[in-house]
Amino acid sequence: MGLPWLKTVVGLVALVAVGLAAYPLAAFALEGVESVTVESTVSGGAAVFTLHYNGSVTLKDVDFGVELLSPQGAVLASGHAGAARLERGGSIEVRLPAQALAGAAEVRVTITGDIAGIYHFNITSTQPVEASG
Amino acid sequence: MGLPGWARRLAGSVLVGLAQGAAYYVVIVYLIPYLYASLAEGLGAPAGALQPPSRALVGLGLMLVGISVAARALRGNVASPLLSGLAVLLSYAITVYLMGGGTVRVEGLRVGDATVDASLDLDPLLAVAFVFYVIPGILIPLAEHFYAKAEEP
Repeated sequence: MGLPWLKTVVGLVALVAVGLAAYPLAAFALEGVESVTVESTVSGGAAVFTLHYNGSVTLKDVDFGVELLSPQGAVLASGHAGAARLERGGSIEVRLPAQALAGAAEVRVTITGDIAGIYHFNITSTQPVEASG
Repeated sequence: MGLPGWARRLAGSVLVGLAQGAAYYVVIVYLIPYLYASLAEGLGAPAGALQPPSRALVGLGLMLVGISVAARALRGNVASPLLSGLAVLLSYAITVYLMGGGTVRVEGLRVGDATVDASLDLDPLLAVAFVFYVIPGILIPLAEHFYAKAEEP
C-alpha cells in the first residue's frame, strides 16, 4: 500500500478539524433552546423583556428583538438590543413603553446570533400578550 | 485444499469493501439522520422526531456498499480510485441532502401558547467536511493508484 503516512496524517487532521467544528453543535444539541429564556415584567412605566442565557457555549453577535403586535398584526412598539458575546449567566434587556402593552395582542421575540461564533441561528417566538407574563 | 490465490485475494478485497461499505451505510442511514434529529430537538422539536430510514435511503446506502466492494475488487485498475471518489462524493451529497441543504429548520412549533420558528445554519460544518473528507477522499485513492503504478517494474 502506497502513501500510508499521507492517509494517516489527513485522517488525523480531519478528525481534529471535524471534532473542533462539531463540538459547539453537540453542546447546543444537548442543552437545547431551554438554555435561552425570556421573561417579561412591567416596572416604572416600562415593559421590560429580559433574555437570560444559561448555556455552556459562548454566543456571539447576539441580537434580541421584541415587537408588540396589534390584533391586526401591526407593530405597536418595538425595540432590540445586542451583545457581542453572551456567556453563561448573561442577559440582555429590552424596554418598551408599558402603555403599548394595553393595545397589544401578541408579542414577537426574535433572537439571532452565532453559536461559538460559527453557526448562525435564528429563533422567532410569537405568543399572546396575556400568556407572555 | 484451499482456494486458489486469486480467489483468496478477491474474497479478501470483497470483505474489506463490504466493511468500508458498511461504514458508509451506518453513517448515511443511521448516524446523519440521528444527528439531524438531535439538532432539531435542540431547537425545540419534540423528541422522537427521528423517522425510520426510508426505502430510498436504504437503497442509497446499499448502493454505496456496492460501489465500495467494486472499488476494492478492482484494485490496480484505474476504475478503482474513480469508484472510491464516487462513493465519497455521493455520501457527501446524501449527507448535505439529509442535513436540509445545510440548514436545520423547525417551523410552526407549538410550545404552550407560543408559536416558535427556529433555524440553525450548518454550512461551516459541511465546509469542513468537504475540505477534510471529500477532497482527500477523491485525491488520495488517485495518488495511491498512480504511485503504485509508478513503483511497478
